[in-house]
Amino acid sequence: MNLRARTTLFLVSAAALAVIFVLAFLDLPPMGDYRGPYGYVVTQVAVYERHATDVVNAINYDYRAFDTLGEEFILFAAVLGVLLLFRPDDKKGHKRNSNAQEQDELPVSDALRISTQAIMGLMIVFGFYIATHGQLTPGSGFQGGVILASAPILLYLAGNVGAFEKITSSALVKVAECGGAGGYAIIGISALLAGTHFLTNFVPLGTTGDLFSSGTIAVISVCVGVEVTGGFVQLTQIYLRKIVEAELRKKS
Amino acid sequence: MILHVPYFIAAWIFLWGLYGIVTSKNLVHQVVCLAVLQTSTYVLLLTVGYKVGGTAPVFADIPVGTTVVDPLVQALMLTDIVVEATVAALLLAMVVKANELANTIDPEELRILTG
Amino acid sequence: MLTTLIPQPVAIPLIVAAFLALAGQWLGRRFCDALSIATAGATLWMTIVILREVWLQPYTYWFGNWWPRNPQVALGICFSVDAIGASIAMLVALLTTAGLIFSWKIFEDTENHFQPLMLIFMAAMCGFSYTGDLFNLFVFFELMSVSAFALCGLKTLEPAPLQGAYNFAVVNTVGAFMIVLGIGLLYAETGALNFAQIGRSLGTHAGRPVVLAFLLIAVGFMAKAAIVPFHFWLADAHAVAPSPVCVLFSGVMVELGIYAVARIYWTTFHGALAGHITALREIFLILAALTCIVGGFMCYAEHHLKRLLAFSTISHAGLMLAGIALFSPKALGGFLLYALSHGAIKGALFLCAGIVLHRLQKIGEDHLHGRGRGLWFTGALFVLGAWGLAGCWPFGTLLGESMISEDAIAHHQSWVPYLFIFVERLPRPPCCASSFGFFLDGENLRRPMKPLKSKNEPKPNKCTGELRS
Repeated sequence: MNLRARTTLFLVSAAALAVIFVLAFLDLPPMGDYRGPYGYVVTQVAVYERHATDVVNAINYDYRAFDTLGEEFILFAAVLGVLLLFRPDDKKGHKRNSNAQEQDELPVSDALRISTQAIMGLMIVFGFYIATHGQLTPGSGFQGGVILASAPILLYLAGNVGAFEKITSSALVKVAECGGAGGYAIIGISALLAGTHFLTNFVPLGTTGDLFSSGTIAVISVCVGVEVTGGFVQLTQIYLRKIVEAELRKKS
Repeated sequence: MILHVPYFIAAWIFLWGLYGIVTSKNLVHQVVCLAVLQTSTYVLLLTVGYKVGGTAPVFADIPVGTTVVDPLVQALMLTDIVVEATVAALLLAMVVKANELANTIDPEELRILTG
Repeated sequence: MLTTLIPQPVAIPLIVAAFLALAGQWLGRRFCDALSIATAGATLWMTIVILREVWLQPYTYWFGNWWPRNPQVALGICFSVDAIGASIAMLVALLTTAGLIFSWKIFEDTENHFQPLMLIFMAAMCGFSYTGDLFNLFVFFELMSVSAFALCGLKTLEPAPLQGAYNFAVVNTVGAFMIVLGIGLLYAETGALNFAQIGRSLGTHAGRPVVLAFLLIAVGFMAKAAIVPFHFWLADAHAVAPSPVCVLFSGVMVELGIYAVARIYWTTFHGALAGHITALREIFLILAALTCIVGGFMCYAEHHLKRLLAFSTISHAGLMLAGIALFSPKALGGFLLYALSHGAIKGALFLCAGIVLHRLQKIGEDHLHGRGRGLWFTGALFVLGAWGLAGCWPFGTLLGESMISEDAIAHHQSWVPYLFIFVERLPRPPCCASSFGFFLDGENLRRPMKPLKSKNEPKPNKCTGELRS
């Protein structure tokens, strides 16, 4: 089917779908009129039941922790998929090593180099703060992990490709990713071993508002942060390496 | 009616994203259109959960019992965002690899090449 | 015992997958293969035990111990395991074990990423069959899809696999996000995500948002189930995915899409949409018929062995959709029987195709003609499988088909049995002819060969000479 026929067919169906959407949406409760029981019940009980002040994360890592386990493994499977797609052919292996040595330093301005290295420290601290304070304030393992994973990119932007490669290809990154993913499931299994249901919050809950509170919510949040850091660092490393390879292929 | 506009916006974004996917001539553009389509679900979810006069459902500095917006839809949205990011990463990896092998990122050319 | 066993089919494969992804490169290929087969086998045993326990009485398991304190509101996620879900989970585990055994010692260059992805795929499908929560269903659907996309792109030395995997990914993701829109609408109407709670809140009231929600969710799942007009990704994905993965795609992933529509209808929408049931029945039956016809014709025209089987899956998916489209308990039972037997038979057929590809290095019918003489056991299995797909005794497809047909006649849809005849019996001559053609050199049974494109010129192979002389 050529492009024009496809577009016409789509526009006709989209028009019909738009009409259906409008008619159906008009019957929904208007914005601002939240009626459902779930939100009301959970905002009343979450703080008392779990000593966590951030209800969104209490839902994500406790009430609906099983969903978050699935979501974490979606990231894990996607990283595995990207690694599988970009796995090196054996023939290209030698070429890759020699290319890496040529690219230890890229020419960038001093201002860029100094400012990115300054910001990097700030980003790492901020990432740790977000990842560990999930139970208290907005932000949790996922958000903190992404911030942490973006820090090495600043190294690359600062021109220090060698250091970037060394940090991001270390085995610790892979350990972080697999350990975080497996760790989450193991926390769930340990609840089973402790005699309750899977992913029950069986650790002492602590005082509301403290850093070490809310039981497994904080632990799971840190686990997820570790996994997301590992996963995204691997992704950035493999994508940036592809860019370097493409540049060198163009030059040669 | 005016308070239903955010729902219509969600539908609009969804249909535009779908249009982009159907008529795209560039695989990277198609992946971005897919991401746009996915944002329509965030708009819908957040509109459903909003409560007039409600603040963020974080009781670190407000007493329990204050009117807050629904936290569940925000939790669902977080999951949604992670799903979107990971699917986009995987799709873009496929696009990069296709470009490496076939030297094109036009879906039509790729279809002709692969038969 | 069920309280410890029910989360295991999901949790154990995930943990082992994480372990294999980390330590696989240092532990050696044989160990990884053995561990993944052992995990899949253990999951199979667990799903069988769970099936035995829930056979008569469904069981509800609340994660995090979040059983509803307030009887009106379920805060946590539950697994609501009944005989149908448990049977399908057992089929998942069985096919994954078979696929992993098949892939022993092949895929050497995948750096041990293949087994973790297969295990995650299996865990996701088990979770999908067991779950009783709508958003949890979506999360497992996405987990299943992402591992499927990743597995589909395993062979990346050609652009064709990538294009197949890419189309697969885009269509399924659009379907998935239509499901999220539907979930959002249902949440707006009822404030709940648990199937049973939504069903109870909706009661018998079906406003426009509820109908739209059902439409969106059903379309999303039917895109996964390769129902017309969302069927075009299936053949490409199958042609390019390795055989053990095709076993899972055709054997159970497609069935899960249809099962999800049935599950959601019966637990959530049954009361609300009872008034529209005749219209729904007509719409779904028409879609089923279209799928059967399109799949059947394309199957007839195919030469590539795996694409032929993929189009056969599409037409059988149409039959299974016809089973649930009648929206009655008897037809649902027929659907389950049909799905289980079709899954097992299709899995076996794909493994036979995989053996052919592995031994003869080619998969197009024209290249394979007459070269299968040394593979007589595979040939016999292939013919047996085709026999089973044709709905003949003693396969379960016959029983499933007869239950669905009887129920269709009871609901004044007496054209449905003819659909079964069309899908099952008419394509059998070409399929059997293909098998005979491969394995016995039955020249007279073959249809005339299509002229090949120049890039697919058959290369003469000394095997052919040896076999024919």
